Amino acid sequence: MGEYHELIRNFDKIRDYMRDFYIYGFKSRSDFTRKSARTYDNEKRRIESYMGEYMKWEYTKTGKNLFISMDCARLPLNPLYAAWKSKTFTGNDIMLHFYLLDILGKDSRLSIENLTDLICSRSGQVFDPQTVRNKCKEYADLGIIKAEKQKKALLYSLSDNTFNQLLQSAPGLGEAVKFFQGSVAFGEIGSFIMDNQRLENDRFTFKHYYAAHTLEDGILLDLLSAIRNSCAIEFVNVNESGTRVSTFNGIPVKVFVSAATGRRYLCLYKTKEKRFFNYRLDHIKEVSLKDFCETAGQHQTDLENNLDRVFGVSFGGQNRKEIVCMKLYVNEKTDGFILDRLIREGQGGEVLRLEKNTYLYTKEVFDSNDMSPWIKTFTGRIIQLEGTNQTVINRFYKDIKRMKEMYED
Amino acid sequence: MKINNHLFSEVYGCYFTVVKRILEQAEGGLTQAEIESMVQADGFYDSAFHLLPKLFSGEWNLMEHRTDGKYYSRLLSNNLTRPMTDLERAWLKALLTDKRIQLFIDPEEAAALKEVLNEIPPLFLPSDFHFYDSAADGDSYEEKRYIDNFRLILKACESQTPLSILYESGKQNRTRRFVIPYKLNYSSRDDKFRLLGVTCQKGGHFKKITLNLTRILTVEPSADTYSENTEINSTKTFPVACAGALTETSANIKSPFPFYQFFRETKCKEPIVLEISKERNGLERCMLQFASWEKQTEYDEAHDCYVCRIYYDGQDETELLVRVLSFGPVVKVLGPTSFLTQIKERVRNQYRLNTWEEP
Repeated sequence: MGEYHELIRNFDKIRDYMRDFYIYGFKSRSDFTRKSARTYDNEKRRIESYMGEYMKWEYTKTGKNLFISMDCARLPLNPLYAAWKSKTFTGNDIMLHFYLLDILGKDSRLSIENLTDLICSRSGQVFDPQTVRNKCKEYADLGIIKAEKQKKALLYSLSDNTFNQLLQSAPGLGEAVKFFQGSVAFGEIGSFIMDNQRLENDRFTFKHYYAAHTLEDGILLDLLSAIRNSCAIEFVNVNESGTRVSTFNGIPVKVFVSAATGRRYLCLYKTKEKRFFNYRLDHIKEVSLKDFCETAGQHQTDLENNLDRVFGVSFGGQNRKEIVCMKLYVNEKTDGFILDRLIREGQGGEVLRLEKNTYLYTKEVFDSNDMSPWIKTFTGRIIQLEGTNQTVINRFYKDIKRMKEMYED
Repeated sequence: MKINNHLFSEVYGCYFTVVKRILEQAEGGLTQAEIESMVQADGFYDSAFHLLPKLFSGEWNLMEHRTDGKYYSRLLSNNLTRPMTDLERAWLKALLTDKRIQLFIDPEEAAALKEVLNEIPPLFLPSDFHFYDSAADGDSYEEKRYIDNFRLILKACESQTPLSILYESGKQNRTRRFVIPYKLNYSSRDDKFRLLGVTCQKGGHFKKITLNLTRILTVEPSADTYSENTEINSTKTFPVACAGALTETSANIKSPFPFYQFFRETKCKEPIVLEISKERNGLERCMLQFASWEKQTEYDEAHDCYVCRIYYDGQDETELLVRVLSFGPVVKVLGPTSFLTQIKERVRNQYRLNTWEEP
């Protein structure tokens, strides 16, 4: 049985547990069946340590429930970024890190032999030149160190790519990092910069912020790399209950994001089916890049040409052209905000004034199912709902009837 | 140039950050207690237990324990800020393609940054993403007036300078307000910035305020306005700490202004209680949709459903109401009474509108 360590080697190990504790928050020890109870205990202990005050617990009939709870609108920084800062390392890693920064920091350009000698004398510990060379190569790959050839020797120095250098060109960059760490993809990278520069976000808060996105950013990075290089991919997809594991392949085209519900999807062109599909990012486990795809650009264009008919993430079934018409009662004196909402959220659907206080919203989409949740947000005002997909229309009326029964006094 | 895709690296790790801060301050020696408190402040909750023995025992050879009982850095430099990685630079380069960057950086500055980051490809592009349900009426980030106002406000947030703001309401009414700016709030769904601040009303009442940036017409430091408005000097209705923070003779705010008086937790007394059925993947949809609010969920074995409590700010009530309605019969509101009454009214109205329409 392994000893418990606070830090981890593999990010995937913590990704699922953290998501479960955060998104669901009602699972007790017995509900975590993926791995052994001991694994659960270790992951729980780690997450408690990373999350600190945001980790809460309560006793329920099924046992003690641990969960991550936070009001995102009050957070200066996403606490789940901590997961990205938990990578384990060896004693040599941390020693070499600081001695390299120390020794190479004074405009030094040193050969591996000189560098090794200095590290050994200053730290009082013997390092093999090959160990130091490997670390230098690793840091050169990361961009921290540069290696320049002088005659036959490679000379190492610190990269001059510092944040302060960029600040000289653009003094507002520090504030920009504070903002963008909470408002664009890969916010954790902004947080890395802030840690290194000792910046704190004391200016911005974020509403409709979905903290769990950060847990998918490793997958997102692979997907964007494939999109950028026009590569086909193969990936492992696990369904929500974790009971079905499938492998899919195709050409990644775009990432769909819901700003309202906090979901992110990979939009994939599947060559065999000759059509687009969306897959939830949090269900994707592994991505491998395959061959260069010559037609990637064409799929991008095809998708762009069809985006206005995708209301959510569905490209529909057999019937690829559906129309939804919603007639609404809008009191023009008091409910102007409803019209604003129709325009703001209606994704370009046509809004017509039929008569005083009566408006008609019409939209053509691939799949009217996608519109159902949004349509229901107008509950209480829908005079009539019509459309070419009668199943969706019928379900709406049935739902209203069920809700009436549900809330009957 | 290929970017190293190592997002998960110890270089960005919490331990490296904590040790860097300790070493940078240990030139003149630090006591064990001082180091412990730094680890407590910047490390994970249990980090002291794992990190300190290695640091104190000399296993990492980064510090030495001298006879005065203090720990000293073995390094010569007291600035251990590492250069940026290519991944960080690629992320910054991506920011330059975002329309909101103009709020922080002038076009000439952006051009200079692009030059410095010339060899680095942006980590992502706006065209990589399709935000399918964000608002169509997002703020106009390219508008000069908007940019100027944003920068003035951002600066005032830092200095806590009171501002005189000419504001146009949704109904086109214009009012001048005295505002002590606190923070800027951004909503990705609405694609809007809002200023959070404290305003003074007639009679010296101070209260928190939220203003849409796009509706702010002009912004000025408030010295003139303040001296003209004698009511603001009235302290009789100030919270005690707030009154102490305002000087009697000028518009200057003594630092720090006690914003906590106004922006502490303002959760409603009773959470919204939802009963979530297992139908149509309701639980998962619900958990994701309400993930950004503080919530608590448990399984109700007797009724084979889930009960979720959402703790919310009163300002969010209408939004939550609409979101709950979007789930239809999959989610049933159990309380609180006022929220339940609103849901019932909407459902009743809808049923009345459609009784003749039943399939």
